[in-house]
Amino acid sequence: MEIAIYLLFGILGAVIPYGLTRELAVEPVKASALPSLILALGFYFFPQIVSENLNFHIPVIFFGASFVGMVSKKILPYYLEVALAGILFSMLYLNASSFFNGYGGGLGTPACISVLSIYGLKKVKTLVRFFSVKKNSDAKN
Amino acid sequence: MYASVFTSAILVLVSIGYLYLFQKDRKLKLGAWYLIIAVILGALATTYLYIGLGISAVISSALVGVLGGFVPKNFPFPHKGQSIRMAIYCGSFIGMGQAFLEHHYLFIAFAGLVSGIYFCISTNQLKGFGGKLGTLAFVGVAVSYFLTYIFFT
Repeated sequence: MEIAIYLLFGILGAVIPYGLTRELAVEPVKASALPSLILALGFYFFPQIVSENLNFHIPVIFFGASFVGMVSKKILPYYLEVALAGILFSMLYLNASSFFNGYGGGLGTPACISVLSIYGLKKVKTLVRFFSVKKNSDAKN
Repeated sequence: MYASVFTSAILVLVSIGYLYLFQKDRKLKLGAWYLIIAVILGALATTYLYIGLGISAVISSALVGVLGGFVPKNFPFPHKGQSIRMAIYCGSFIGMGQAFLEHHYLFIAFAGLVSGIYFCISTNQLKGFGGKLGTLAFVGVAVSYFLTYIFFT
């Protein structure tokens, strides 16, 4: 149940800044920082809404996923791809090693990895086409 | 000591090699010094809010990001405000780290300097990718922690 909530907040955290940037032309920094600040302040002032564990992790996941949402629409043009990147970010965050806990920037790295992975997933088709064309041209030669 | 110098020399050489490799025009540009200062200021402000005042990491970083978002568009030079905002937000991720060392503010300023240099150099790389700023912050913290570890412990 908790994992579903984390994944949901991962999706929301990625899609809300992306939507703000895309539809309302808010600049990425504000689109990422402002929703995270509002959510984190909400959880800070009303901690009794959810359990202690959720209260700690939800703002962090939302904040981290908002870095995913800063992606430009030239890189990931569809909301579904951004939502997938948000899910991937939540999974990476939940399963990451505790070795880098407390390092600054530890949230941005999984965000970058998830965006690059989804971008790579999009490019697999191009790569397959490239290899098939190369194979054909090699066969002709 | 010699091993430390040798290791850090190799680290610097590898970084320079990679930077040259990924630069399109094969020239290292470090013109935007004000971005380095913005990264350091963002990092120190977030650290003060997080460690000094005891506010949670997410709130302090997001607050610095929002406040930094109101930097005027033409603040130091015409049309450079946008990159200043990005630099402050990048610096605010550095400040989210916990205090490992005795002189934490000094360490954060050093990490901000390293991240700022990487930020200036990588302006044209990974443009528009989400998580670039956070990764730069992580690189700065990791490199400066490594250098502090091999020279001062």
